[in-house]
Amino acid sequence: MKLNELTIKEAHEGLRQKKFSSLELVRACLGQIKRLDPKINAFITVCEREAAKEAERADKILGQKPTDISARPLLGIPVAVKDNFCTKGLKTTASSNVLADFIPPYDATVVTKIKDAGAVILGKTNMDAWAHGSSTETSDFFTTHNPWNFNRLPGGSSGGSAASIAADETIASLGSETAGSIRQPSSWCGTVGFKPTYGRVSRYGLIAMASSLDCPGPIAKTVSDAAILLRIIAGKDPSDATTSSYAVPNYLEKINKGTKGIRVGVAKEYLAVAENEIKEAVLAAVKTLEKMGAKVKDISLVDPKYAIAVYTILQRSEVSSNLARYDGIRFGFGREKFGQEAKRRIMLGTYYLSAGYYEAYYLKAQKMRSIICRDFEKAFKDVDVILGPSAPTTALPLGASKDHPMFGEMMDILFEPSAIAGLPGLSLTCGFSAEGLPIGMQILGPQFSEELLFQVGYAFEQATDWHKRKPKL
Amino acid sequence: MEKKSKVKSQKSKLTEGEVVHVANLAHLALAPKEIKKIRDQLSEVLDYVKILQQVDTVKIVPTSQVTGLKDVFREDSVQPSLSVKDSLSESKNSEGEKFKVKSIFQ
Amino acid sequence: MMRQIGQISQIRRANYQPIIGLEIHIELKTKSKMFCGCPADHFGKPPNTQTCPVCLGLPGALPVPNRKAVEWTIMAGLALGCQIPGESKFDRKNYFYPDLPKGYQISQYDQPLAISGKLGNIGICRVHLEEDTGKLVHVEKATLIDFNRSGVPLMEIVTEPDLTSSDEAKEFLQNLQRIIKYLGISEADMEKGQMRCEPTVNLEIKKGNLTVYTPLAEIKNINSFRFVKRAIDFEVQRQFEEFERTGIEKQAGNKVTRGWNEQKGITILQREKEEAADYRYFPEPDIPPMRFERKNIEDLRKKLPELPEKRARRFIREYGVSEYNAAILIENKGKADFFEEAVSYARELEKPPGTKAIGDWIVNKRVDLAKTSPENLLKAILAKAGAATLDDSELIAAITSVLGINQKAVIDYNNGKEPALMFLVGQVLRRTKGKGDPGQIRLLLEKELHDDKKR
Repeated sequence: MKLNELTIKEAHEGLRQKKFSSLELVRACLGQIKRLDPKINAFITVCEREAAKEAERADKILGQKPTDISARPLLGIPVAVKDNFCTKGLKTTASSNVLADFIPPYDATVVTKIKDAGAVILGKTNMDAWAHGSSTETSDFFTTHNPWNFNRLPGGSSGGSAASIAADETIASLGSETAGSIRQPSSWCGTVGFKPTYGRVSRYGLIAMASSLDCPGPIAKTVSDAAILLRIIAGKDPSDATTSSYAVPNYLEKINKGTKGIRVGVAKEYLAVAENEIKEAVLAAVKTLEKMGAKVKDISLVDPKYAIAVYTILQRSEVSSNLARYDGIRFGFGREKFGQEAKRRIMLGTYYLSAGYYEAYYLKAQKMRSIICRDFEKAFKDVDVILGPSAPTTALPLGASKDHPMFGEMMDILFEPSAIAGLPGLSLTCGFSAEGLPIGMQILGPQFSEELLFQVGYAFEQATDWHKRKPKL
Repeated sequence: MEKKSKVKSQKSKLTEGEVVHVANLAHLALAPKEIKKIRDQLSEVLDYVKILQQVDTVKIVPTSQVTGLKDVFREDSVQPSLSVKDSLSESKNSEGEKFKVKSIFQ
Repeated sequence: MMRQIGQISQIRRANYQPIIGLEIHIELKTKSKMFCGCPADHFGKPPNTQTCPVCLGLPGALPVPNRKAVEWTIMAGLALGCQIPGESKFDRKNYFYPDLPKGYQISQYDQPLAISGKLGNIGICRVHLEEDTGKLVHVEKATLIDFNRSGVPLMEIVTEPDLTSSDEAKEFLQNLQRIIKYLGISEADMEKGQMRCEPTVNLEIKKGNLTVYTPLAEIKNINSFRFVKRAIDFEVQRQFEEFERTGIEKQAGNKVTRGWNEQKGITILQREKEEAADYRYFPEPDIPPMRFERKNIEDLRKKLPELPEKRARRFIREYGVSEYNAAILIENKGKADFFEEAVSYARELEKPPGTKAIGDWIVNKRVDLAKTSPENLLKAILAKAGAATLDDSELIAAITSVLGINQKAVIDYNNGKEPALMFLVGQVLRRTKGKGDPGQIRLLLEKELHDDKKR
C-alpha cells in the first residue's frame, strides 16, 4: 500500500512504530498531487516547502519524545484545508477573485487546533467561490474534477477537499458546510463527510457564508478518521460566541458498540426525492442495519421543498450582509471582482431584507425554520437516527450547474432541513451506480448526537466493503 | 396578525428599477446586460420561495439561532492587537499608517 | 409647494414652538472594545495600532460582546429611570461607508437594553449599545482611515421630542453628562468626541385654528454644548424663514440631515444619501440573545453611585449649604468629592470652620480645585474667616430644639437605628446654617440622647 493511501489511524500507527517518517508520508502525498492534480484540480495552493519543513519538525519530535505522540493525534500527518479557513501567512481565497491574493494575519480556530494536534498543512483546496454552490464550478479559478470520472463534478462547495481525499492526495481534510457543502461532495466523491451540530465547532476564521448555519467539519477516508478529526476541532471557543460548552467526548470510545436496538427512521419524503438507483442502495443499507439489530421505522418529515425556500431566504440574506465587508479598502480587491453567483446571492439577500419585504421573506423563513426544528424534535422522540439518501443524484457532468440560480439548492435538498435545524449528519458511501459512481447515504441525529452517528456509521462501514473501493487513477 | 406583505401574488417579475435599487443598496455596479439576466434569475427564485405562503405561521415564533445559547460575553480585558504592519499589510492603498480611499467628497 | 401670499402673512404673525429631540452617543470607557480585546481608549493613539481581525472586519472574524459595556449601559438606563426589558439582542445595521469595516454596524434595533425613562421632565425613549466606527481624515483628493476607534462601545440615548428650546437642550445635555460622569462609565467630553449630540428639530406653527409642522431636520457634527445651543437656534430660525418662504410641511420622507458648520455658524444641507436609509436590520446571528433576570438588574441598581441630584439634596440636608450652592457643588463629581473631603478633614480639626462656610467658600471664591487641596483650603478659610463662631449655648439651644421636633428620629436612634443620628446632625447644621463642627455636634447629640434615655 502506498503511504498516501493510508488513513489517519494507519498513518499515526506507522509513524509511531517508525515504519516510515512524516517526511516520507508528506512526500507521498505531494507526489500524488504532482501526478494527479493537474487533472483533478483539487488544490488552489500546495505548500510543498512548508509542508516538508513541518514534516521534518514532526519527525524530530517523533524521534525524541514518544510521549508527545498520543497527545498530538495528527503529529506529522498531512491535512488539506478548504480555502475558506484563514491560515496565517498562507493565501486564503475562498476561491474568489476578490481575495485572490489575500494572506490572513491570523489562523482560524480549527486551523490552530489541527496545528496544535501536530498536523502538517499540505495546501488549500478549491471550492465554490465563497462556498456558494454544490459543484466547484462557481470557483473563480477553476473547476475540480471528480476522481471517479474526470468528466464529472466533485460536488461542492467543499469539492476540493472531498476530491483530494478520494484521490489519496492527502490523508485527511477539512471542509465546511452551510447546507450540504460537506455531505454532498462526500456523497459524489465516495468519501466520509461529517457535518457537526451547529455550534459544535468554532467558526472563528472561517470566511462567513451564512453565519447561523456555517459549520466546519471533517472529510475523511473512514468513519473513525472523521471521528478523530472532529474530536480535535470541536469544542467551545471564546472567540465564537455561538459555540457550545457541551463536553467533547472521545468519539472512538463507543464507536464499535454496533447498532443493536438502535431505532432507525426512514423518511419517505427523502426517498421520494432521490434517483431510483440511490433509493435502492439506501434501502439495501437499511436492510443491512436491520440485520445487525437496528429497529427500522418508517417516518414522515416536512417536505424538504420548504427547507429549500427557507434556506434560499436565510442564506441569501446573511450572505448579503457577510459579503458587505469586501470593499477592497483593508484587504483584497473591490466589489467589481465578485463572480456571477456571489452577485446573484448578494442581490437576492439584499432584496429579502429591504424595507417592506422583511416580514414576507426573512421573518416568514425564520418562522418556517421553527416548524422544521419542531418537526425533527418530534421525529427524534420515536427514532434515534434518521437514515436517508445524501445527494439525490450521483455526480453530474461538468457544466451541470451553469446558469442555474438554484442548482445548489436542488443538489442539497436533503441536507437543507437538517442544516436549518442545526443538526449533525454523517454521509458515507452505500453503493455504486451502474456507471461506477459512488452513492452516498446520510445518517442524521438530534443536536450533539455525534457519538451515536459515528457508532451507526462505523457499524455499517465494518459490515460493507464500499469504503475500500478506490477510483482507478 | 402577520403584517400585510408587499409580495406580489402572481408572477414575481421584478422591474429593472427594483433591480437597480437593490444593486445600489448592495454596492454592486451591474452592467445593463447583467441587470437583465439577474432580474430573470431573481424572479425565478422569488417564484419558488412563494411556496412558504402556503404555510400558516401566524402563531409561530421565529428562530434566528438554533443553539439555545444566551448571555455569551467576554470579560473586559485587553488582548494584544495586530501590529500596524499586519493591519495594513493587505491593503492596496495606504498612506502614513492609514488606509486610503478616494476622497468621499468627490 | 407654494402658498398664497395672504396665508404667509398670517403665519408671520403666528406663534411657533420648536420641537426638539436629542440623539446622544456616548463612548464607554471600558478597557477593551465592544466585541474584541483591542484597547478602547483610542484618543491620540498612533493610527491603526489598536486593531485586530474583529474590529478591522477581516474575513472570518467574529464578535464577542463585552459584558462590562452591557452592564454599564443597563446602569445608565437605570440612572435615567428606564425600564430594563427581560430580553435584548444585537442586530446588524447594514450600510456602506469607508469607516464601517464590516459593511454593517452591530447595533440594537427592536430590543434595546433600556426603554421608557425620564430625566427631569424629558422622556427617554431608549438606551442601546452599538459599536463606534473608524475615523476619517480628509486630505487633498483622498480620505484616510484610522480604525483605532472602530468597535469602541458606543451607547446611544434617544430622547422623546420633549424639548422646546435650545437652552433646555443644553441644560439637559449638561445634566446627562454629569450623570454619566458620576456613573464613571465615560468621560463624556464633547470636544474629544466621547459624547456626541444630534438634535432633531422642527417647529409647531399655529395659524388660526390650524397647527402645522415643519419638516424634521437632524443636525450632525456638533462638538460642544455651546454649539448645540447655537445650532438649534440657527435651525429654528432657518426653519421658520423657510416655512414662511415655501410653506412646506412635514411629511413622510422629507426629513433632512444638516451638518453644523462651526466656522460659518450655520447648518448646511448634507448631500442626500443615494438611497433613502434602508438599513436592512436583522438579528445578529453571531451573538446569542441576552436574557436578564430581575435579580441581576437589581444587583446593577445597587451598584449605582449617588447621583448628582440626590447628592445635592444631601448636601443641603447634612451640611446646611444653600440650594443654589449645592447645585454648583455637584456640578462635577470632582468638585463634590473635594467638598466632602474638606468636610471630613474639618471634622478632625479642633476648631473647624462650619460645613456651610466650606461650601460657600468653594463656590464664592471660585476655588481652583486643581491648585489646592482640601487641607490647604481649610487653612485658607480659617486664616481669612476663622473657625465657626458658634458658642456652646447657641449649639445646645439648636440641639435641644432639633431633638424636640424630631421625636421619631430620637426613637429610631434609641432603637438602634444608627442613620437617625446622621439625620439629626444634619438638622442641627441646618438650624445653625452650617456653622459648628459636625463631629462636635455628633458628640453633643449622643451625649444628649444618652442623658435623655437615662431620664
